[in-house]
Amino acid sequence: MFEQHFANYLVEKQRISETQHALVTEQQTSARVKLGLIAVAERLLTHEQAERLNALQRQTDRRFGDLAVENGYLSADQVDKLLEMQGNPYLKLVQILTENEILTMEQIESFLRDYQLQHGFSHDDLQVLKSGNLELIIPLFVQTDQALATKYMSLAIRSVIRLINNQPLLGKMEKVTTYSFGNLAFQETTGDHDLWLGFGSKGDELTEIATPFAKEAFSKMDEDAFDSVCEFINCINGLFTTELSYHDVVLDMQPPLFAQNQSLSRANGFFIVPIELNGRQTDLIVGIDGKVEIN
Amino acid sequence: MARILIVDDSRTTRKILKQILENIGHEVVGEAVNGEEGIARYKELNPDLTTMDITMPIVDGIEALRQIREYDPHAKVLMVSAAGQKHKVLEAMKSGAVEFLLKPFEEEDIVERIKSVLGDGSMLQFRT
Repeated sequence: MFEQHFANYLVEKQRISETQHALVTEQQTSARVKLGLIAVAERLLTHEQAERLNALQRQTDRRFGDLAVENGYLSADQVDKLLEMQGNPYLKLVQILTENEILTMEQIESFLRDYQLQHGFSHDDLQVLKSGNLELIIPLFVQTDQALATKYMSLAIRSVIRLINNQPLLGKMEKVTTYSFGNLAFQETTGDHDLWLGFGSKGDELTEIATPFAKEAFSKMDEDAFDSVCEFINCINGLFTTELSYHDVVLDMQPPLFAQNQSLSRANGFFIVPIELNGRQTDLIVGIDGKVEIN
Repeated sequence: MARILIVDDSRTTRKILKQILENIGHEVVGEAVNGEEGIARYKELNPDLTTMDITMPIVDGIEALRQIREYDPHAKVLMVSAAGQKHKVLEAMKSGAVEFLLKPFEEEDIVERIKSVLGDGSMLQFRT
């Protein structure tokens, strides 16, 4: 997720070209990150040490990690930790950019600092983003003073990743009092809390949810496409209300509905998380304890 | 193979269920989009098995299950719903559902539940 964000940022800032971006995307699925690169990125080895080990590896039939331990550069525990990081998508991006001589490690680090400043992420936030751990990443985008809302939106985003698209680009959450939409699918849940969850878009972008969920290609938001998005929302609410029911919170889901070309409003506001799917923006919309009006 | 009725307000789920059930050789004899229609279709078709959603307009799945079981105490109704709250599952089982399957489901889940509900085919012999 973060690696895509960062790669898009590099294109946007003209640090890499569209063609180079396409190459990165293509290689991202097959690349396996080399241990030496991770060790340098993690500042456990210098470039020179990694190069020396690479040279030794070429001359012997030994593994990089074993050679690093033998030469006193790394401990066995450090090698184990680096091996765990080999599937990390951010490190794959770094490897593809450096191996294809698109950017140097120093350039990447410098652009990463610019990215961090522009997006207002702390050093710790950045470490979380680079880790690829969704459980830690999602809360960076979804922070409210209402624990229930945070939990609800986090579950919805995890459901998007699990059932719709495993590479969404998340935008930072906003609290607003109105929202104009071209298309909207939503569901109300009543009982111990009044919950409201929907997905909206300006145009037909909701097909990016409808198509994978129904496993049927939709090019526009017709009744069947809305049905698919509504059923996806129903599944999210099912998971959430089921989980809450084991904490003695009683909730009942109402049948999901859809609307077109109107606005949502709520005096106390509701939360919106932009979710880009295949380059097309949809919005996750959540309201807690209070009626969301459509007009 | 069994004659099955699908009751669900979502066309997406009806389509997916129908595909899975037909792939394993069952016959989907009818579909209904809410509980009220489900009850009527049950009486008309007398299926071997009914899959029943819960959150539906007009009459919900729990009420439809009750009415179907009142009409036919041997009716086999498999709940297929996202509404897996404790109270909903208990209500459904008390009202006579044979099994409860949570959405979103994997193909293997539904195949396994259908097999377990239909058993070794003795019910089909009873029907014929």
